Parts: sequence; C-alpha cells; structure tokens
Amino acid sequence: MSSDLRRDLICAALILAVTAVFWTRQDFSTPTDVIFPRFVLVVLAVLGLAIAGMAVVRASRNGAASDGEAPEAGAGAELPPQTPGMRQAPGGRSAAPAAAAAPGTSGAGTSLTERAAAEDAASDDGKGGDEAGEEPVGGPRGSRPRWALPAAAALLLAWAAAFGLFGITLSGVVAFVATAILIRRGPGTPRRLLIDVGVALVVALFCWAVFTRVLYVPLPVSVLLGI
Amino acid sequence: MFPGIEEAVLQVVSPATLLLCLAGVVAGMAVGATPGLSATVGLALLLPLTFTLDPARGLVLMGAFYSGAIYGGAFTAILVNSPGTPSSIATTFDGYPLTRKGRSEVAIIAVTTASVVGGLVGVVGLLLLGPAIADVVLAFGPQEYFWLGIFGLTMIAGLAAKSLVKGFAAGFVGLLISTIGIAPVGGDVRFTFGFTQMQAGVPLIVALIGFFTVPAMIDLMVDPGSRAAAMRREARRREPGLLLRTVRDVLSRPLNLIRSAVIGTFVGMLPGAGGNVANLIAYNEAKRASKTPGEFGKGKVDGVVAPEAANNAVVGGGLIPLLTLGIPGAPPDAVIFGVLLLHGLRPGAELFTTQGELTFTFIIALGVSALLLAPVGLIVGRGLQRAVVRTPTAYLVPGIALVTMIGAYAVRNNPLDVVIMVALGLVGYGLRHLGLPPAAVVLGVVLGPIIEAGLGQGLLTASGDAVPWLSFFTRPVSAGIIVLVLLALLWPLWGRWRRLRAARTTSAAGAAGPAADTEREGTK
Repeated sequence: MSSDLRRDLICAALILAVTAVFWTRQDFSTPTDVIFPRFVLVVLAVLGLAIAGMAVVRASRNGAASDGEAPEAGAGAELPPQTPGMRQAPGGRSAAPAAAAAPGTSGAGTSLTERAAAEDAASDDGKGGDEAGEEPVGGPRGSRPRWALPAAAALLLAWAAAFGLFGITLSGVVAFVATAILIRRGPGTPRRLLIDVGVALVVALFCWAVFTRVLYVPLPVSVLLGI
Repeated sequence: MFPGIEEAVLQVVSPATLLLCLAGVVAGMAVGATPGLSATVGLALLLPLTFTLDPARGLVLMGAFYSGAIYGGAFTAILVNSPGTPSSIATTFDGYPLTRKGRSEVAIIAVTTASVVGGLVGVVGLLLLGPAIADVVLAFGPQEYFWLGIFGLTMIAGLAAKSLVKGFAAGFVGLLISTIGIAPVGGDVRFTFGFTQMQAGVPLIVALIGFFTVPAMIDLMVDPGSRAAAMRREARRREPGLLLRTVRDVLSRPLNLIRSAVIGTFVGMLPGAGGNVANLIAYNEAKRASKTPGEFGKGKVDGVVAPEAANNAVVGGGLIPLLTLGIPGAPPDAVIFGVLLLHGLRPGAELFTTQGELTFTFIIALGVSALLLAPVGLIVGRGLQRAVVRTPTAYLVPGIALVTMIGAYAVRNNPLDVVIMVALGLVGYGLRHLGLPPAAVVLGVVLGPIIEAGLGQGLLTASGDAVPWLSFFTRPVSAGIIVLVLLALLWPLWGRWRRLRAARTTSAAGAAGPAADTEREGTK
C-alpha cells in the first residue's frame, strides 16, 4: 500500500469515526437546533467516504499505469514529478521558479520584495542551513529523532495540565527549562542549565507581573509558591 | 455639511489629544500583540480610565487603542504564527512563511503600510458615507448573514491547494467544532461529552492559538534546525532602503489595498461580522484577483497586505452603524457604545448635528491614530521583529508556549481551555500531515456561528411563510450574495479548466510539431 493511499484512508477513517461519535451524541429538543449540526455531520460523512473512494480509485489507476510502464520505467520511476517552470537545484532540492529567481526578470505580478526574497532563497541553495547559527540546536537541519514528536506532545500536554494545578510560575519555570532541554537534545553543561533556569524565572515572573498587576487578569496560583 | 468640524480639528491637534492618541495606539498594540487578549478585552480594561476623562478624550483614547490593538495582532501572526486577535487570522497565511524566508521585516513594513491605508479608508468611509450607507445595514437580515457565512466558506477553495475534498472536509470539521456548546437559537446543549465547562463551546481564540501556534511550536521542538538559515541571517543583516522600497512596493499595487479596505469598511458595517470575517474575505479576494494566486500561502506580500488593510478599515466601518443607528458593528464597538451611553450621548443621525464637535473629534482622532500606526509600528514593530528573530530557538519556543497558554487561560479564566488549546494543536498537527489544512478548520470555527445563527433565525422569522426555506432565496440582498457565492465557487473551476485547456493545446502542438516536420521533409 502506498503512503498516499494509507494517509488518505487514515484521514477518511478518522473523519468517519468523529462523525459517528458526534452522531451518537445528538440529543436535541429544538427543531432549529437539529438542522445545522445534522447537516454538517451528513456532509462530513459523505466527504469522508469521498476521500476514501477517491484514494482507492487513484491507487488502482496508478497501479494499472505502473504495471503498464514497469518494463521501461526503471529507476526514473522513483523520481518525483517536476513542476513545469521549476529547475532542479544541486542536491535534488527544487528551487524557486527560474523566472522569479533570476535577477532582472520578473514574472507577472511578482513584486520587488518578492523577487528579493526569491534571490535570497536562491542564495541559500547548497549552502546548508546552520553555517552561522549562534546556537547549537538540534544538530543539522532535518535531524528528527523518533522520540522528539511524542516527547514534544507529552511535554506540551503536561505543561497545559500543570498550568491549572501548580500555577503559572512553578509549571512555567519547570516546563520552560524542559522545553529548552528538549530543543537542545540534552541538558548541556551545569552552567547552561543554570542560565536556562534564570531565563525561565525572569520570563515567568515577567508574564505573571504583566498579567496580574497591569492587565488585572487573574492567573492560577501555585499552592507551593503562593504566586 | 459637518457642523463643529473646525473645533474638532483644533481639539485633535492639541498636544494633550495627540499624546492620548499615541498612548492609546502603543497600549493597544501591546494588547493586540498578546495572543488571547483581544481588542474587546483591552477596551473593557480601559473603560474605567475613561470615567476620569471628558467624553471627547475618553472616546479618542478608546479609538486609538482599538486601532492599535487591531494592528498589533499582526505582529505575532507574522513572527510566531499566532494571530494576536482573530482579525489577523489570514495574516498568518503569508506572514509566517515570509518570516521563515527571512523576510519578516518586509512583512512588518507591509502590514504597517496596509494598516495605515486601511484605517484611513475606514475613517473616510465613516466620515463621508456613514449616514448615507447605514441604511444598507438594515437590509441585512438573518438570511443575508447565512449567505455571507457561506460566501466566507468558499474561501476553502483557495486554501485547499492540493485537494478540494479534503479542504471542505477540514472546513466542516471546523463547523462541527463550532456546534459544540449551547445552540445560538434554541439553546440546546450539544456535544459537551459531559463536561459542563464545554457548554460555552470552544472559544475562537483558543482554537486559533491551538491550530496555528501549537503546530509551529511542535515543528520547532521536533526539528529545531528547521528555523531556516534565512531567518538567522536576517537577524544580522541590515538592508539599506528596505523601508522605502517595501512601502513603494505595497503602494505600487493600490487596487489590492483599496479593494481590501473597502471590503473591511463594508463588512465592518455588518453587525456581528467584524474583522474576523473581513480579513478572510479580503485575503480570498486578493488571491482570486492576483495574477499569481499560486504564490499565496508561500510568503507573498499581497497576502499580508489584504487582511491588514481590511481589518483596520473595520475600525471605521464598524462605527458607521454604531454612530448612526446605535448598532455596534463589532464587539469592540459595543464597548465604545457603552462609553457613549455613560457620557449621556445617544447614537443616531442627530449625534452628527447636536454633538458635531465631539463626534468629529472622535472620527478625526481615529484618522490621526491610523497615521500614528506608521511611526509607532515601524519602531515598536521592527523592534519586536528583531527581538524575535534574534532570540535563540531554545528560549523562543517555551516563551511563546508560556504566553499562549496564559492567553488561552485569560479568555475565560478556565484551565481547561489551556488543555483544549494544546489538544487542538496536536489535532491540527495531525490533520496537516493527513492533508487537511488547519486554516480551513479555523475558517469553519469562525463562520459556523454566523451560518447557524442566520439559518435558525431566518427559518424562525419566515415561519409564517408556506415554505420558510424559500426566504433564503427570494430576498434581493440574499440573491446578490448567492450570485457572489456561485462566482466564488465557479472561479477556481474556470481557472482550472483554462489551465487544462492550455496544457492540452501545448501538448497537442508538441505532438504535432515532429509530425509536421517529417511531413515537410517528405514534401521537399
């Protein structure tokens, strides 16, 4: 099963599951309140089925086409389709449309600043991303360890849950430092950790002071710190 | 024609009033740039201060604050993909891509120019056309609001770059989220899953931060190196003449500016619509009218100019029904309405005659505040932009997370909203990977209440008719909006058909070329 087909089927299954869950929770007494949510649910179900159906049809067509082309396709079949007007940059990256990137030429409706941006983007090609980065974060561009996504999701959820329980300062400082460590992929030196804690304290206390003392927005209070 | 306008001008140019305008703009920008604190919340916080001022100065301060807050929402939309106010939703579509390209300064200068022009167009509309076109507002009933919401939904066609079906699925997921809580017409409690805190539904600000900001934060946490080299280079680079070049560039396409500002003024007049809807419609129209619509969403300057010109024009437009009919066009106008009533002023046509000096002082001060956005915005906004660009990722991400969590909490002082925000963000991250655009989900959340309230109220008002549904098609203004809806739906299809036809013609010419050459050689 191709990744596109799998993705579309997961998408359709999720939409249909959400629709089914919401459908079973309908308990309305006013006729005017029924119409809109029910219409939305019916359309969502139809769209979910359409996504699944189109994915299957597309996959079967692609399968038939690749069966017919298999003998002569060879390694070239693995290459992604190239958009007309795009040039292939060194390293396989697709660069901006040549018309927009080339100095002195302009596509219809392309502004001066956008042309400058295109030139800037073109000058990025082949240079790598972090040659002058002042902070050693996360290794080279594209470094995505598998644990990073679940760790990021768990950290944000835990921070959100702790926000109401432990107050802005305690949860804020701990989660701030944890996020900085996650982004650096490690705690680093003790000095770095101390700096992180200091920055976290300053930011959390500044936010607390602005919201509670200037804007009069009451924030959750930590039972441990009292603020 | 304008009784009391000379005295009003003299009052506005007095140092004290100018200082109030400046203070209001700066304070408004600070509140607007804070996710979770909307212009309405800021104006409500400011309300007690106006008790100590005379009516004219109180209104001047409120007007300047309102302008600053709407403008300030663009900063976080551009720099961290978090719309400071719902009026800047569409600003994120091209603003954040511009930041990722290392062009955030260009974006800030462009939105400042657009905001000044939009604000001035709104004020001119209020001053010259206000009383005359206020009657148009009265022609808008529930049926028209329903169709206006449907018209907004057609924007999905523009947002769904890869799959129209998935785009509409995302939009309907947003509509489904908007149905959570107490129904706007009948009062039924729906889809709360046993949580009483959910009876008020999912707040728009919480959904906005969740769907836009949390996925951006996760991206940076998962792959910190994705903070492009262009962004870091921007932190060190100084481009001489960038300010003038960008301003000239924005002003070189006046049609986009004027069209967006007129949309903002008109939508602002419609009670309940406001900047939330105006910025989306203006973005969509800018994309539709552009010769390069494919560049929208990838960091196009026109994509930030259109929503910001529109949402700043809403400030003046929203005051048209307020000052002439006593109907607030947008929630912040309701707070200004309160100030008027507190000082014993009754909105209506006579406000322009019996209280001409005060009314025109307020209107002219709004124009001055719009002009002040330029110097203040360029100093404060570019300062903020440089601070964000220079902040290390390891501190920027947790800093954004902390501020957005406080912002989500501050909407209703409810810790559950913070959890909902993060949960929606994780859902948005997942949906994006499944090909469902989160922007379309947010569009559904924004437009859902407008469509549902219009539908329910329209059916109720026409319940005496033999077929109540027909009232949605037979009213003249409704019919006009239906035509716009059809045009909006057919436009992309027509464009696709033209592209297909052009591609077929090219391929047919390509295939015919070698055959013709062979034929020619054969005849020689």
